Amino acid sequence: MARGQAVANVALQEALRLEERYPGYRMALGLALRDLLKLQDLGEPEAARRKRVEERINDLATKAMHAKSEE
Amino acid sequence: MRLLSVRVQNFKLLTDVSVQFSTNSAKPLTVIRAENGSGKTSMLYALSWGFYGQDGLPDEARNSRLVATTCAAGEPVEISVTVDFEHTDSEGVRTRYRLIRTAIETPAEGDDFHRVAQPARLLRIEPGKGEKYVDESLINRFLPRSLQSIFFTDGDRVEKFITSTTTSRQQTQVHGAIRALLSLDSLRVLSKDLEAISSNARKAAAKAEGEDVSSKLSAYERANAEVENTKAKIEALAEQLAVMTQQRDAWDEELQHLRGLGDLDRINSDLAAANRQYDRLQQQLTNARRSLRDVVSGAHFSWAMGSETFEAGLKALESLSDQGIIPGTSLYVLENRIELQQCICGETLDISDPEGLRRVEFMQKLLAEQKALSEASQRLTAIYHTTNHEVGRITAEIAEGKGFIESQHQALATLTSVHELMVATAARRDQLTEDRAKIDDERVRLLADRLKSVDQKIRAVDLEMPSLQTSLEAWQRQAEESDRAYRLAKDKASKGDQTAMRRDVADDLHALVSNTLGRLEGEYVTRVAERTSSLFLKIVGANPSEDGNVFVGVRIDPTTYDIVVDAEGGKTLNHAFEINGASQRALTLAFIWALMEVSGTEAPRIIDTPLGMVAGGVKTRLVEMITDSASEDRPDFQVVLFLTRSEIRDIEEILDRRVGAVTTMSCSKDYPADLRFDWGVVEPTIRACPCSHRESCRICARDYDRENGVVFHDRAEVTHAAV
Repeated sequence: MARGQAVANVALQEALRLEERYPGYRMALGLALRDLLKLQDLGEPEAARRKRVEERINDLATKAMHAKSEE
Repeated sequence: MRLLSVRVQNFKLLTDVSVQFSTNSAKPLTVIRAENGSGKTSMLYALSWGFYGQDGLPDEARNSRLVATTCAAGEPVEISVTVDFEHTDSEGVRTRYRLIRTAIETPAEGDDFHRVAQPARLLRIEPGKGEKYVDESLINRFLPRSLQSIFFTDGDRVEKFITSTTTSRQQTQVHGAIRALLSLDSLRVLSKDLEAISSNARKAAAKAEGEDVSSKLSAYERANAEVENTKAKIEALAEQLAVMTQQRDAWDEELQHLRGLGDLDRINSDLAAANRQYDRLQQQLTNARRSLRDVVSGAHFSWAMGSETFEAGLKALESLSDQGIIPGTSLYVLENRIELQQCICGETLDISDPEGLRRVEFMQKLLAEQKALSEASQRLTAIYHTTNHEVGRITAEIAEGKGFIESQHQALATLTSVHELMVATAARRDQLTEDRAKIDDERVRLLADRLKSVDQKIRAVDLEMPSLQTSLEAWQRQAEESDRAYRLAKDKASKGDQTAMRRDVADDLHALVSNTLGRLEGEYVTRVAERTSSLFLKIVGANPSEDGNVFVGVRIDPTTYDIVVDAEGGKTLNHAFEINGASQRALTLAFIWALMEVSGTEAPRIIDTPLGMVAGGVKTRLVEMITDSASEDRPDFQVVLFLTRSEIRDIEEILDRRVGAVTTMSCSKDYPADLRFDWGVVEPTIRACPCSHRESCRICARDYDRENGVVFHDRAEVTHAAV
């Protein structure tokens, strides 16, 4: 693959510095970053790309809210 | 991404050639052995055409035919490249793909042709599930076209990859490779997307959280906007500076070149002097020709031509003189004596004396006889005297070295020397005229004016930059403070609802992207530089801890990403002029290998004729480095080298250890000049066989193989596809 492992490794390491809003949240953030980068490889236009980013943020926020309500 | 095999049909002379690639991690090297004109470059182009279509071909090949020149006009030919490869995704799942690209090309008369390219087809091959067409744009994800110069290259391009970093093209190559393989550009785009999304999410949450949060958010956003605005100004200014510097260097170079020819006034003065000298020489030539003419028309020439005749004539005259016929002075003596009435002997010539009368009568008889002969005698006498005088002069001059031969030599030498001077002067005059024609005085003045103007602008930018940097730092401080104030306010007023959570997640993701980008830009670029330095020094055999090394290390400028080669004494080396060709290749390959390694990129590196101009220890160490097997620190990779027999010389043992797959390609046109066996084909074609660097067969055997220790196998004619 053209995109190296470096970015994925660094993203996962950096995610560990953030607040774990629910179990697996930081890992989910790292994976989200990796997946969102792939959108660019596929040449998604800006509007479509931003929509996908928003969708991913909404998913994570919903999961976080759900986890919060379960506490 | 790893290549498995390729089949090329009707691409130039590659009528139907297949190549298998090594997928053995311990032996990552695939060698395609081929001599000049045996399809190496065609195979490289076929592969890049297969992956990227027309865009994959070099500029000079894009508008050229792809089929062989021997294909008949008007008959369509299907060109096809089929590549099997596998890709491992970030979860470690390995998937096999087949890429098929075809085009129909119809040659016309002359160099014209008509080509209809079909869209590439990409198939995913899953065991048990069969083949499935997938979006062919995935290719750009597996092997981005922007990095084509890293994946598909040749020795010359490798050499120029880093050199002349002052030109934008090379800068783009190095910077592009760093940005793409470390995902810097993609992270920047994602950061920009997140900035916009995060801003909207913050505004939405602040609306519910009250005026204090909203005002603090606005203050932060204003400061942040100023930060971005100032950054953009700095970037624009830096870009402007780079363009101006590059333009100034180009103008300066042109001006230096023009001045190197000489200034116009000096050339005009030299030309006038040369013209004057030429005129003088022309006069000297006329004089020299005259001197020569005088030599060949003078007495000495006559003497040289007829001295024997002259001497015989002189002897005859002397004889006449001896006989008293000449000089014939007796006439005057006799007349004088008759007049004096006394003979020379003292006797009287008085006619009153009978004896005297008898003597006078005798003398008058003699006078009468001699008067009859006097005309011829006078002439002979004159000739006798003149000749005697001239012969005396000539022989005296010959004795002094002034004879005809000497005079002729001297005149000819003068003539030759003047002629040679004239030729030299004419040549100098022509050169000066040519130089004058090259100098466009207007251009010199224009360039000087432009340089003055651009230098002023560069100075102005240099003055503006520090104040912008100071301004940026101030805005950054203000943005940090206002962000802190905003965060405190929003934490205090947070409703903890979905809107607030959405904002927090967007902020988290934005922070994650920014921090990742920061680490890659700093720490990882440094790692690439360190690894490049270590690989490069190893290849060139330099030890920085010892004295007397040309190379001390390699750095990557953190701001510009320029590759800097350090020398002893704190000096840096100019890539283009102070690093030899072999070291330039070593530097590029060290950089590419380091970048792929640090970024954790698995992709093939295909290099055509990488070892030209590389010999000795550098050659073996270079091959050792680029074919070294994968390790824990080194991701799986493939190296495909297109090598000639002369490149293989001296690295056979490394190839024994590192080659995982080999193909030899040969072209029928080399029979009988080099190939030992006739394939029995009429049109030139290229065939592949599975012979290694130590073997030959009826397809590839060459006359000089035996002396290089290549073993001949008399096996049946096979092609790689058949194997």
